[in-house]
Amino acid sequence: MESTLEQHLDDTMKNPAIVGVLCTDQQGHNLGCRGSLSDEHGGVVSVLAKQAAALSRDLTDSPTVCLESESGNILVRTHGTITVAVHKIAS
Amino acid sequence: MGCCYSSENETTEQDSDESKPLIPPPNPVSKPPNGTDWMPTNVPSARTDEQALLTSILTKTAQNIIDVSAADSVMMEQHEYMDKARQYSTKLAVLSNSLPQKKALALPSLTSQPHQVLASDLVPYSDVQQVSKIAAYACSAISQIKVDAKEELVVQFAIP
Repeated sequence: MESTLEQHLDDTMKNPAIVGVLCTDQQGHNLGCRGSLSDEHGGVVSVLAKQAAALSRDLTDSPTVCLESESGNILVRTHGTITVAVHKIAS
Repeated sequence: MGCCYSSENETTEQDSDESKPLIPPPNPVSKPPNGTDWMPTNVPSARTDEQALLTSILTKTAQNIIDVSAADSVMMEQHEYMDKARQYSTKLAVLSNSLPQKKALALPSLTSQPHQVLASDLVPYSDVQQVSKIAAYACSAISQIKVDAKEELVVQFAIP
């Protein structure tokens, strides 16, 4: 059943600019990861997204959290019950 | 105020507690001392045949125990106190090197040049759109994972 998600993660990694991707549920449990993002980042990622969502009263507004660095950005976004983090390097 | 120390009712028990070294003499110990613990206070002072047996049990326990009930700590001189503090910190340093370090739970290290990062271009909106597309697709992929009930969870036992 998880093959669709696994395939989606692999397809995402095919993009040369993307070096890491991570999916977690609302409790930070890792549902799938590739590359530079792994198990131990699940908790941090889910909490960041949850706290950012609390900034806005609009419940339909899902923010994208961007962690910027000189080598690349990590973008975190929640959709429904899952949170996805993508580590993208400057291309 | 109360009396901190009295020499009138000195027992052999108290003697051995006072003169026992706080840090055990350097001999190859297999494991580090495991924190504070209390000496058994019911050691009989009677000189019986069991004295030798008791002494051996005491020495074995003494290797694993740090005795913090030293009654004469109030009367320690400054240099003794500094010496003991130095001994403890070197012992701690040795032990902390051998203990496994807790893995730092952090995202991949980002930057040592914050002003450069802050002054650079903004995150392109196309990236944000790409990530929201990835998230939406992942959410629909996750929804395919569901319970596939093959048989009843609760069954009746056929009791004849």
